[in-house]
Amino acid sequence: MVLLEVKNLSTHFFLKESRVRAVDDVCFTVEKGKILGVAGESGCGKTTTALSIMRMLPPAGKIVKGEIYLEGIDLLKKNKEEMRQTKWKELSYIFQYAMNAFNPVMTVGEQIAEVIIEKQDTNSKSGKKEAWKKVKESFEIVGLDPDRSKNYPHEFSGGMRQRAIIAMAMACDPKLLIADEPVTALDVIVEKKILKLLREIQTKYDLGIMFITHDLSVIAESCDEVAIMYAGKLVEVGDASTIFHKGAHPYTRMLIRSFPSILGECKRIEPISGIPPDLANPPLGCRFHPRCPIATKECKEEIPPFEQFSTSRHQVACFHAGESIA
Amino acid sequence: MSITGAKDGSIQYLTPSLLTRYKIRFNRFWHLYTDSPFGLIGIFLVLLFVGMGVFAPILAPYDPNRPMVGDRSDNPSLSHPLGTDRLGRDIFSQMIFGAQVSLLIGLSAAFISLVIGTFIGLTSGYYGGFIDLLLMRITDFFIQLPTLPLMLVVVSLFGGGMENLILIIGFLGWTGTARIVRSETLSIKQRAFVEASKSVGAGNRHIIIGHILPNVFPLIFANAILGVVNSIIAEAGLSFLGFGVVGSWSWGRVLYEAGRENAILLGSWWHFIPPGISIMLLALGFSLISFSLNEVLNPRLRER
Amino acid sequence: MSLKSYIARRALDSIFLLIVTVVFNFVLFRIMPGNPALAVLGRTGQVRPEFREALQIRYGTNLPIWDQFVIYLQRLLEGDLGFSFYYYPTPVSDLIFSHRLLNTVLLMGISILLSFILAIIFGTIAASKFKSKTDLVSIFITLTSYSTPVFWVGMLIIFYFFGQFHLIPLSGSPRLEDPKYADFFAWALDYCYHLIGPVTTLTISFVGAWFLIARDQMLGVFMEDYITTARAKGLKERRVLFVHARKNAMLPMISVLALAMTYLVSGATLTETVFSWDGIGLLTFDAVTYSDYPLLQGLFLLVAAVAIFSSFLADIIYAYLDPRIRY
Ligand SMILES: Nc1ncnc2c1ncn2[C@@H]1O[C@H](COP(=O)(O)OP(=O)(O)OP(=O)(O)O)[C@@H](O)[C@H]1O
Ligand SMILES: [Mg+2]
Repeated sequence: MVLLEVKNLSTHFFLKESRVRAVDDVCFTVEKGKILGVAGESGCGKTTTALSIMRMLPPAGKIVKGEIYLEGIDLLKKNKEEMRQTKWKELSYIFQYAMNAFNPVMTVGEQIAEVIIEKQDTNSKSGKKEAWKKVKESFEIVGLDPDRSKNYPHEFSGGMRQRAIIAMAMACDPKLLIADEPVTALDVIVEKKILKLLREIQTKYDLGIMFITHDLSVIAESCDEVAIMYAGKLVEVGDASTIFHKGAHPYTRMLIRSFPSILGECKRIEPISGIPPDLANPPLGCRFHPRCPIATKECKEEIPPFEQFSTSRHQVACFHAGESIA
Repeated sequence: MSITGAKDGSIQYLTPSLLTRYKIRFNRFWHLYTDSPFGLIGIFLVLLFVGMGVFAPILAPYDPNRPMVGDRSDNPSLSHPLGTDRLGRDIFSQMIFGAQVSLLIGLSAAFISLVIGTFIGLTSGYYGGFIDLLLMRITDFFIQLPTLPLMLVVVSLFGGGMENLILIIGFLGWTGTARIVRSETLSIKQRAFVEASKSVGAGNRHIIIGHILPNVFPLIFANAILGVVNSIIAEAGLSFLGFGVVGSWSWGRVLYEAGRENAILLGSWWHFIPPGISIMLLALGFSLISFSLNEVLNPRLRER
Repeated sequence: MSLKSYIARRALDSIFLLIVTVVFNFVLFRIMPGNPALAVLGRTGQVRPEFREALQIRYGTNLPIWDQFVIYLQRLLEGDLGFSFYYYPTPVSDLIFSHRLLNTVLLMGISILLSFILAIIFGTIAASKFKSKTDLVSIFITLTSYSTPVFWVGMLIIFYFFGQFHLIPLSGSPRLEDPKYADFFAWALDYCYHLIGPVTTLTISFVGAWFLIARDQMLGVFMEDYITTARAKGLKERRVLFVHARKNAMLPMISVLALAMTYLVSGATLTETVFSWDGIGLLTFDAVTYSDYPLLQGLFLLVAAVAIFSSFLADIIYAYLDPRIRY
């Protein structure tokens, strides 16, 4: 069942002298109870896509086109107040660099309880008690000592804070969780634990997750589906196994090759040569063509459509999808 | 250019590239500095008054101290653009010469504060521990004391005069600099390169002068310019109360004379409006420069 | 460290500072050429014999410096600040703790409160419209006010609002004892009327000094990740601003307020002089003008004690609000 459907989303940043096309005509879906991994090089518009869904773009950013359906309701049609009520109740968010997500002058528990109280229907005293009970429960779920909920954020370690952030994200039983690089700041061991935790919670609560990272190995380990972004465009979407074994877009394949041992094989690492384009002045045609080894005249002139490829859930935007890149 | 050896040759070769590097850095700085019009307005105002001070002997139509018996308490006229005071001295000339004193006191006092503040801030931040605790408690205390009454007391104890005024304003104005330098020093101290040079066995003095000072300098500079503003205002206040310079003219002293002559009640605006505006514009010039510099140099602000 | 032990440590610090101040106060007024008594005697020339005798007894000027200090301390502990030279034989404490202190506390209290509120409101507005025209214009105005000598602002206000428009009285601070007031309310009304000029002057100057600080704090907090998170949580904007942002932005403003606490008793010499407001600032000016050392000592001690106490208080409030402080 489709939980989130993003249709033709374009988000641009309007700067003094230029317009940065950070997200351009992007379509994808997140299924209920599935994890969608979004990957791509730094600056390709992952965070911008996610913030567009939350409707929390910085002042220069504007959604110029598109629809975003959460359980069939267009988020972009909601007014501010409706959107505020949707946030965290149906849709919660873990920010990139989330280490400072907690207000230093309030206890961690308070900050989780406040959002539970806010989203409750009743606002009575019992509601407060109820909220704190839930705070303790959520602490237990993420493997934190419930008594620590009275602590201040600076008294937590990095890994504990990350767990607390997940506890907070889960506090109101959302349907969709957007996690923007939730593990990048952590060391490898903690990272593994947090990933496992996310996976557990996701299966237990039948949660849909949009998981952003630029680490493909993380995606390989924990995601059901994968979306690959390049320079503001979605280039390929599909099941994790399809993408990793039968990736059809040259960029996808080169990205996979540039990571060590995703598939456990000991292959040579081949970094992608060149740099991503300036999104204020993206190249005509396919945005990847300047770096693409198999680009043709067609690629330089026309934008490749985003089309179904091998299976029904596998889509690619490339005139030469599936061709060998040698 | 004579080719005397490889060493000289390489220096010859390096110089232009270093120069271009500074040029690029300066251009980038200038671009940021002129982002808002404030910085340029500030430079213009300050240059205006520096010119006024430097060329005062040429610009001033009269000796500001010479009483002209025939023209006592004159209204503005062609020969006396801002009239004369009750002793028949030309107010316009006093105003022109006032730029000299205000600038002199403002700059030198700010320099003294800068040196003291930097010294205390560096010491405190670098050594930490008990020295830090002690110095910061003292700094806090001085920040807490109202400045003008304190200056008044000290002036009354040691007497006025140009040198004393500079020393007193300078010695009581270092607190802000000390605080900023300390916090900057603390954060720079953490950085790896200081650690590195320490492990090689560089002495404290080398680390402070060679590594920390160059890094905190830009911020100190922006702050020092604010010190000039404070010093100019402080001088004006002390002079207005009659504890200022004697012999030479500052804008504060012109205002003091205006007060003694009841210029406000008599409605002789030409005696107290121009000097006040001059103080305001000169101080504003420095404030604007300091604000713009801070926008560019303060690492905390740069993130925005 | 717990809050309690933090308070205890800061209290010890404060007591230490207070002792240093007392010693400093004693020394400062004795390091100038000659001792205080002689300085005054030398200056005035003609001295009544009973005055000279009183000085000798009071300060023990013929005793060694250590004994003088002991005498000084004893008197101080008895609350005796000595006699004023200029207003002899009025005791210094009577001069300070009188209508003057009340005048100053009222004048400064009203001005500080007004300025503080205005600075925070303007600062928040400017910060929320960062780099807009509103922001730039308010920065320019406040920098101008920061660069303008406060006494000159006062002069302008008198010149225009008294001289040209006749909106405010010239100067002075009405006293309740004045027989021309029929009752308390008549006095209070006239008192407020006289407050307008100096309060306006001081407010202009304080807002100039505090606006940028408030704006900077607000800007800093608006950019913090926890504010973004609070918004993402779908909390009401009111809660985001007044619970999450204000708590943090107010922290540094507490230091500003603590500093202002000192002005509350020190008064504003320049403004009080311009408006002939009979307060502590004017008293300080008189004391300096007439080299009234005992009076100066008393004033200095009062201000220093309040300064130490308010910075102590500010630290405690700070630590209470920000758990990170109590390392
Ligand atoms: N506030 C902004 N103003 C202008 N341009 C922006 C802004 N934020 C992002 N951009 C631009 O939008 C593009 C996409 O940025 P985004 O943060 O979405 O990338 P990302 O894929 O999340 O990268 P990373 O992996 O580094 O987090 C970048 O080219 C960036 O320069
Ligand atoms: Mg990102």
